[in-house]
Amino acid sequence: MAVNVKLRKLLHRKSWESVTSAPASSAAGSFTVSDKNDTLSGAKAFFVQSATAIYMYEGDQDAWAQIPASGIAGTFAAGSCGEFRGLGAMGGTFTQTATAGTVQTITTNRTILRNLNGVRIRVVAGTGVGYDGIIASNTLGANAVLTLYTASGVAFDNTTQFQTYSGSLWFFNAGTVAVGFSVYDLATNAWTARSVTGLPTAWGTDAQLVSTAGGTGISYINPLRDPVTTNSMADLLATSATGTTIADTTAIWAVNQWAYGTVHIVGGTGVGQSRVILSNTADTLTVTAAWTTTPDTTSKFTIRFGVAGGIATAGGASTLTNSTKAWATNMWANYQVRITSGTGIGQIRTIASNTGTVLTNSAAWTVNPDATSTYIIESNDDNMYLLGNNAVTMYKFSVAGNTWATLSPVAARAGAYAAGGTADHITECVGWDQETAVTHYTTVLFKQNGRYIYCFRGGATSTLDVYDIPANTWISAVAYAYQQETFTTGTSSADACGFVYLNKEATGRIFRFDVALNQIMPVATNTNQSALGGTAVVGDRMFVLPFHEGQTLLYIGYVMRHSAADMMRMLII
Amino acid sequence: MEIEIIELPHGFGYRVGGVYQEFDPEQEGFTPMTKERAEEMAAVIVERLTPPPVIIEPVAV
Repeated sequence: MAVNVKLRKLLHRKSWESVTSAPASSAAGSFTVSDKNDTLSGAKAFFVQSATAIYMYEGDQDAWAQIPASGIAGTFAAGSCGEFRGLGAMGGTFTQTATAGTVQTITTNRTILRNLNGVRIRVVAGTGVGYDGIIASNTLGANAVLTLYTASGVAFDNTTQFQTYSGSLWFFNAGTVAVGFSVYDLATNAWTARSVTGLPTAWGTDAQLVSTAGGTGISYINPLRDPVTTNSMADLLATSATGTTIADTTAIWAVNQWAYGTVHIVGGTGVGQSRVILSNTADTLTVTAAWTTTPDTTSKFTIRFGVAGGIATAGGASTLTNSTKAWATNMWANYQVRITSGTGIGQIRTIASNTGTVLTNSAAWTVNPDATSTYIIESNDDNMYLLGNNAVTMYKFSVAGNTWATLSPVAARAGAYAAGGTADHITECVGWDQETAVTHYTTVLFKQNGRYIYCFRGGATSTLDVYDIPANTWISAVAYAYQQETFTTGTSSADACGFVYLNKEATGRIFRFDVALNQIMPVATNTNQSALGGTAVVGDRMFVLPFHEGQTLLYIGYVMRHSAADMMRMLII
Repeated sequence: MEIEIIELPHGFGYRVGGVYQEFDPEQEGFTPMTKERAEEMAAVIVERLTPPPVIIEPVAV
């Protein structure tokens, strides 16, 4: 359903409103993260006030609850930072191995403490690889057994490797003689320390941790850019379906914009099924394989799409070929490719390089794809990037390997990440789904979702630096329209739908950087912040949460007052 | 604070409060721990999770 925004500009002034205060005051290093991609129910966010005082915010309830203390190494201070990922991290890693199973159950070796009903699960290797469904229920406690809504074609067993979208909070801790890195898994309610080998033993000033996990959220036409004529993909309700189609007559999709994406039945008749989309009209999806249970008007569904997709024309030991393409050389390096149907279904590999028609992985396939294999290219689930510490150096973490690498970019960043710096992975620009090199900014930036981390440098500058993930290089000091405002200690950021929102220090002044239009614009000032004051302290305490209004997806931005516990929110339109 | 040392197929792990660790927390990759190492690392967690003592000093009247 389209969002019909009836506010009259200038006449109806957008304003920030107070919500429930956090249980503790913000201090240097304290930060917030959120489930921006709507992976879990309840619109969750987290406030890390210290190594021991960590709180979960339930946006639907506007209420807080403390979660276990982290036990993290290091000393909490300026430079502490974190990230939320939709993928769970039981025992510290996001791929689990079953100990047994049936066609509709998976036995884990995990102590799961909450009901995972509605959580997405996918099998990435071993018996049942390619299964992509939803957990119906699970036992609680040790060696929890997961029961799935939809049976698999084969019985899962102790070779089955799976991932659950049950949520994880990643926390990097500052320090003077040692730093710390730990992850909190929501399903098991437990923290697990991760490696800090290869990182500096002293870390401060300010910092950001950025995950590039892809394929975790819904796909949509940008509701913030054109809310009147676009619609949301959040939990669409089927108006009709056949053996190979599902339709929503309120939709206004572009023809075949979802081709080779996946559609997931998340509620009602046929719940738990997922299919690759062959094609779509303005309101109807046609899937590549018939439904096991035909959806009906009670069926809720969601669409997931990466940056690009298609059907292979050939495959090799470490390659996938699509001879119909004309990709820019190495535009997909460090992305991941996932086989969504056909031969080799379920496999995920990091792309090391590509030619115009061939993707070459960093690791061999278990089963080579062929001309029956559909695929998705998406941002890499395995990587997180750490930047800050008043330095130019950036570090890259592999979740699967539990290892850090110091990046040696082709062009180093021209200036250090200073106090008030920001970092946001840009994935949602309208029209940035090109599969050829379409230039955006001179000859160095291209219109490609998932390619860049946009970073305001901070340090009382207006400087914008951009990190190019595939090219492993920095484009420093990117000029942009209306560039003049500077950012320093206390500046926070949050990104949504191709915009980077900035909360400037303790001024209450909010800005929005439009990535596609390459301009910065003011957004409604948070007069509560400016009136109440508060000493600006380092730390990223701005986040966005998605809310569903029927079939419409809306975003709400949140900020926390400096050196206080006050929280404020505003509908982002 | 209770320490639970857990025997695992590859070695030993521990659970202390809300912290669960299967592999050595100070090593990259996935390095198994011996029982002694697990006990040593678990004691470190106890120290981190134990709040500092509150010292009340008398005020002279």
